[in-house]
Amino acid sequence: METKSNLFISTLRALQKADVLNEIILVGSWCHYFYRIYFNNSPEIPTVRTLDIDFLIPNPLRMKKEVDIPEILKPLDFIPVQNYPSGYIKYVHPELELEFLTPELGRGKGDHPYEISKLHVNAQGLRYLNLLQSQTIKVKSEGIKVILPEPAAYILHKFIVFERRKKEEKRIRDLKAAKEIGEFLLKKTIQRRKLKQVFISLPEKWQKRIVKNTKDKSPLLFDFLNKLDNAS
Amino acid sequence: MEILNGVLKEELERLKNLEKSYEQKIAELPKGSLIKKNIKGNIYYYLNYRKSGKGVFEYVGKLNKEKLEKMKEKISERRKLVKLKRQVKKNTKNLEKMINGNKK
Repeated sequence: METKSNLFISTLRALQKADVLNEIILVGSWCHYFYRIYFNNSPEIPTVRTLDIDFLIPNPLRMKKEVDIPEILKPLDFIPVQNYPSGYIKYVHPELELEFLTPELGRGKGDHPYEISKLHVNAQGLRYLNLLQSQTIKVKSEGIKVILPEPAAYILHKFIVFERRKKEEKRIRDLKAAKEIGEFLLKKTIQRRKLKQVFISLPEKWQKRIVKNTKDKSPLLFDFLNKLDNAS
Repeated sequence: MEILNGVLKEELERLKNLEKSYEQKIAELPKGSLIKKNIKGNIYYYLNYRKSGKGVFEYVGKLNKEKLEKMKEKISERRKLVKLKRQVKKNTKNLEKMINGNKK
């Protein structure tokens, strides 16, 4: 049996070979794996990862080629498991799980997933994911080129969505990661600039929510963002 | 430690759900090995497996090339899932040990 990291890399390789990896964005805690590489193995980037790999399928998806993702995942022993009654399908393996997400726009679809026919999968629609798809970086490692959210966007997104988490444990974990990465970004001039740039691009309502949520959780981030909020 | 325990518990829940999913899929697939019997010049297929310690031959019938291939695929799919389920059980056992160890 493959270890989690090996399986993760094999999955990315398979998706890259099928020209999918340059169209979808790796989100969720497995981003930390590549953020560590991006920031030259900085110990400030947390290593605790969950067992689900989340991929964001941009909305709209501009991909021209049709790719059968379930067929790509089959040789890696991922099997589709459908959630009833929503119909949402995730791909499971003893070591890892693969989920597809997409930004929920407009009135949304409630509990029903979005059919992504070009990729032969469906994706769970979630609010605020457009923040992650609009600001991305590319990281290359071990011959794999992966698209990730800009770290600044990643942490700001976490400070918005953590309160929507139903499980307390997940909320704590989200906040800890956002705080650790966020405070690390503040130490870097370029990243401070990016934080500012991403923050001021957000709707005012989102900005207010982030500032409110950082107040008790991270005084350093609160000071930095509050000044930007007051200036805007 | 709290975060680590949270991740471990979440994984345990995931593995238990996964085991159920594998069981459901396994139940939908044919069990055993495909056996060919030549009876009076006709080829008939049977599924051979053990039930309560006894060997069972379950009649499948005549299969054309296409149906035979499909049946073989399903049998190999079942074997793969049984193997994966075994891995899940092993992972669950290890995880329970870790969680109980952390509690001490």
